[in-house]
Amino acid sequence: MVTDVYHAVADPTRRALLDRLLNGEKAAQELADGFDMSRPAVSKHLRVLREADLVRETRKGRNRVYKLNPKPLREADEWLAQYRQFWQRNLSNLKRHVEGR
Amino acid sequence: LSEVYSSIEIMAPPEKVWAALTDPEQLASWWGSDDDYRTYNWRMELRPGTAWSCEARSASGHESTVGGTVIELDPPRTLAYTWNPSWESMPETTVRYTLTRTDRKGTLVEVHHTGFGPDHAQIAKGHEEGWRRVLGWLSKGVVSE
Repeated sequence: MVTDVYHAVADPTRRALLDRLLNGEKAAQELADGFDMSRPAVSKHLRVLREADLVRETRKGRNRVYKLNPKPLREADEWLAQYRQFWQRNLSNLKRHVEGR
Repeated sequence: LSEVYSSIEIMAPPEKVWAALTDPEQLASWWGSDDDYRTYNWRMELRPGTAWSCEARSASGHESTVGGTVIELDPPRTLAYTWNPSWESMPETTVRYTLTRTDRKGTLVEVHHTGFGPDHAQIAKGHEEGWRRVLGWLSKGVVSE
């Protein structure tokens, strides 16, 4: 899961797509507008985001609508948060040791 | 690629901090704590390309090791080594310490732990940018509950 999220956010187009979804859901056409690439190319990026579960697709009438799913982002951050904690604790130990002698 | 950053100011000169970071005897005394885990058998030589390692025993008795290769050495400013923990099946990452003298007669110690990601082939600028963005989102509360 975390692996997919890394891969998904590594691409600038996919980050731009996620940016556009931060303020709420958008129809496929609206989402693709303004990108200097074909609709199929945009769809391909959306598929990567869907596979990473960062984006959910629903149908509203004849339109496909995309919505941001933040959960995988939080999971990925929790993984790294363990390391942030580890280093913070370690540096505190170092400080105590160096200043204490 | 994503990284973990941590820093602290220590009220001692860089030379003293450097010794604590590289002397096996000192490392064993400060790295870890009784309520968490203790480290022992530290091996570290101050030559680039040499292997380093240490063993750890958690408070509950669980044994683990971590080690790697010393890749950068500029006393008392920069120390970097690769990081291969026995407790996690992930590709090798890199830990880099930077020591900077502060005008308060102390040392700013910065740790950059880099290389977290799916695999080496995907270590790319895009990941770093991507991760910054993710952290930005998180800090803005956009993706928090």
